[in-house]
Amino acid sequence: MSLVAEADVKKDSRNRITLPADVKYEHFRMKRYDDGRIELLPQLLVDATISRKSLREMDEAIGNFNEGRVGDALDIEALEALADQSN
Amino acid sequence: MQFKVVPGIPGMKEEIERLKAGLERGSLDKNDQKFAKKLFKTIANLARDPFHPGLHSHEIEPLTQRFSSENRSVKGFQSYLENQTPSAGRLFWVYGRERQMITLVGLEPHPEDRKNSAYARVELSRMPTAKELAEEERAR
Repeated sequence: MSLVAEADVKKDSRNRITLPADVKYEHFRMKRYDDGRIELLPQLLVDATISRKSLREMDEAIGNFNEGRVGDALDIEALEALADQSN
Repeated sequence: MQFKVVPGIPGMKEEIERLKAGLERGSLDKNDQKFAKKLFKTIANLARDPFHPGLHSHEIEPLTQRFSSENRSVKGFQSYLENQTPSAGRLFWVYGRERQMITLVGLEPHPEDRKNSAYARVELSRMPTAKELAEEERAR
């Protein structure tokens, strides 16, 4: 990691500071420290969020998948017929 | 050529069996019934074409990183249960274990979470890697 820019900046009347035009990221994680420092860490926003339960279940499914354990093939036509039924 | 779709175990297998049996018997509540129909339609579309436009299928890189090991890369994908509406439900899947096979590994919202709107969630955002930074730099 090397320093590529350093500048004195001043917040405007609405507490905004403009980032340099060549900053590549749109999302940042802001960290504010008790000594006054404010840090912006670039973030790639991948998707909304995911529940812990779903994530835990996926980890378990992948563990089984890696050991060759998966369920039997689904009967696609039967599932589709159920999806199409009225009521 | 159609893909073979298999449920991951234990969660997806149990949930699909529960929803299937519930639809057959007519014992699901209205929300589960609606959800089951969307899920089964999505699975059918996935079997025909994993990148069917309505599914909006795309790789979720943090899941790929999570699922992959040093000697094996496993890409994690997500598809929407409802076109343009990620909040309506998302299905997570990977290719394999055989050719032309898709394994369903997760569902969002999780069956237990569907009954509780205030559940614990994890943000899938992350710091870009040095390689990604270099690639973006080159693309500019």
